[in-house]
Amino acid sequence: MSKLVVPGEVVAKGNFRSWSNVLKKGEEYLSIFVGKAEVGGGRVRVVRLSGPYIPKVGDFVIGMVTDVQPLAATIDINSYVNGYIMANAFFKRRIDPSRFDLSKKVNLGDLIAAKVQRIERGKDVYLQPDQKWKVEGDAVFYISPAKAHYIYTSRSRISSKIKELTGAEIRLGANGVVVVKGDLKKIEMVKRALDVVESKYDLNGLYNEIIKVLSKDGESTDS
Amino acid sequence: MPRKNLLVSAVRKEQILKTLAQGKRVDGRGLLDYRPLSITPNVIEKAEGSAFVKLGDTHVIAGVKMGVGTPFPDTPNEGILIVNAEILPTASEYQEPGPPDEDSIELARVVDRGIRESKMIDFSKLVIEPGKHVYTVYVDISVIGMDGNLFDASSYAAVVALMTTKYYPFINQNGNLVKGSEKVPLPIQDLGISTTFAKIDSYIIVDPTWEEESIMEARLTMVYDKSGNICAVQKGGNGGLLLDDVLKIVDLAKSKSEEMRKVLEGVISNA
Amino acid sequence: MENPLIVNGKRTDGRSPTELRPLKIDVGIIKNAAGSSYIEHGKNKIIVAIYGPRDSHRYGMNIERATLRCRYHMSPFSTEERKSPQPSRREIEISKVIRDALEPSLILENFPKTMIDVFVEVLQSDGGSRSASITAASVALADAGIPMKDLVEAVAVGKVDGTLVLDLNDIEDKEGESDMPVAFMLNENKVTLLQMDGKMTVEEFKAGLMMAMEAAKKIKEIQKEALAKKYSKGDRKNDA
Repeated sequence: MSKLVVPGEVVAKGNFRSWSNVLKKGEEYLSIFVGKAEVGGGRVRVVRLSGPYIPKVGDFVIGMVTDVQPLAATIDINSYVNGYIMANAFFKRRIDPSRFDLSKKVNLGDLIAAKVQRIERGKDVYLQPDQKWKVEGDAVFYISPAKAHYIYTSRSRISSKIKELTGAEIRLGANGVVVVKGDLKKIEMVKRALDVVESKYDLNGLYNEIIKVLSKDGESTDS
Repeated sequence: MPRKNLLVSAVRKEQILKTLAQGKRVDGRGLLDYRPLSITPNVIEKAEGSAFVKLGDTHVIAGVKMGVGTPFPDTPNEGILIVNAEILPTASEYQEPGPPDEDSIELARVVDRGIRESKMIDFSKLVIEPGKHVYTVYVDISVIGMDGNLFDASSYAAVVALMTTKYYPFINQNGNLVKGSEKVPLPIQDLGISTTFAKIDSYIIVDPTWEEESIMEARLTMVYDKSGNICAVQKGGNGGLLLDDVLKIVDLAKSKSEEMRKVLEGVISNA
Repeated sequence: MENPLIVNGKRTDGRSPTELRPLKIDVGIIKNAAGSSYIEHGKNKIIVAIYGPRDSHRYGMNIERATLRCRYHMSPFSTEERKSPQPSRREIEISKVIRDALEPSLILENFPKTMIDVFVEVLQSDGGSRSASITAASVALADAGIPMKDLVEAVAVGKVDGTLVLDLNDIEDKEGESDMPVAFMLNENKVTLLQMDGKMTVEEFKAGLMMAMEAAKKIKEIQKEALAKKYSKGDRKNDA
């Protein structure tokens, strides 16, 4: 069962083993977000549909370099906190700080793929660059981070379906940054699929709707 | 310093340039197409004139209030125009609340020039008692949402608000000002139309978005009156424009302004 | 009395004493904002934008939770007489009480050392603009995904021609005997804004509070619908 709820709305009544994004008030569980309520299997949770990207250790994100110092780069990860990449994160070995300059490796405005390695003081997010850390592509889109989490966590289905139907190469960050490789037509198709993601709240419906929108697109261009 | 330009990622910049090379913009427009423009006059009942303009995601509202003031000593037989603009903190994350910054002030002054120099309003008819009492026409512009080309959006909002203004006149009865009983329109005699172009790489585009403005070389805003004279110009951006580009834009702007004039006149005649 | 404000039980705009003015909310109107809303309540036309949570280095930031900042501002053309664009003392006070009305509903501990901005712009003002601002701002905060215990809704009650009335319009606000804006967090039975000027008896005050609470329940339904409308756009299209 899934239902759209707003803050303060009762999501479920009774006793549940676990719950998230709700406040428990006696027998009642109240949502603290606009979100999709999921109740079942002893669990009650609300999947939020808006709000900033909240970094979690292990997340794969795509961020933009906004500042480069000799030994650290600041990365805009589309969140309320900054991401940082330390120079030595690029290398297995220790580096000599007196002779190293990170600005020879990364530039302002570069998109970088990385994993969230650790979060300090709840505020500073340290990133470990991906093996293919330099993100190259033909287009970049931003979708709401909460929605991105939808496709991120169900990567196997939705993300691969979009790839399959558009033929484009896609890298998706849990923080809502989507980088696409492909020609203009493929980019346009991906954009249409992402528009569907942005306009709907129901995950199951989402999957089918994307298939529908993209297959329709294929037909219209064949004729 | 707050950042007014977006930092556009290298990938996105490449995407914008590649798309331009194919004769298109990333939002699907042609190089010389405006974004969808909607103009709604008379949205503020409490103002004498008003208009809400949506140019893509740039949203601007302008309101006209009429006041009575003392004329300037050098123009005793003319009404007064005061144009004020505020880029509201609602507009973008880089806009801080506070007194108008240089962008807001430049915006107000460019819109002001377009109205004043096109001789849009016959200020000699806005005199109640020569040398003593004249009308002050306040045009207040609030930028609510910001996605580039604030000049055109604000200018359209201001001129449509003025064209649809209706106010109670004051009548001079033995030195006392008495409010009239029937509303009258402003003495309008021309209409200046603003168009804004930007140069990105080797491409000239019209109606730049914020993202485009952030990677452009320079921008040129031109206002044409109804006889086709240029009556206000403002170059913007921290790069230069080739002389050839200026000459090209002068012609493009003229034909584009005629197109936009029809759109605005349509809105006004339906108001 | 020169001009009665209530004639045969009808008010100047034709409402009964316990009737709300028309109220309409749109969600998500400003692209750059984290959350936004537009409210029309009577002749009030108000826009709210939320920015944040965002990193802030301002002195005096709370290290344990997000700091809420609020600006209530009236456009120069929003009133009968042109209003100077500079913030007045009235606007600064209202900014503060709006912040105090919203903050109890928010769970700010999730975002330490950050700032959340609530920007309220009154495009056209009518009676009860602070109440309408609170109702709209709460929806905008939900749109921004700021966790909250409950939506907040506000409405004014007051005394006009000796009668207790709900949701005062401009003329009732100015010429009535009293005006009392109230904001509620209904789930917790809490009042988060309470102001009054004018005179009321203790009984009238108590009855007024109850009247406002009943109206808040109706306003909450409108808030919920407005949010549902934005977040199920694609789903609704499918149903049709």
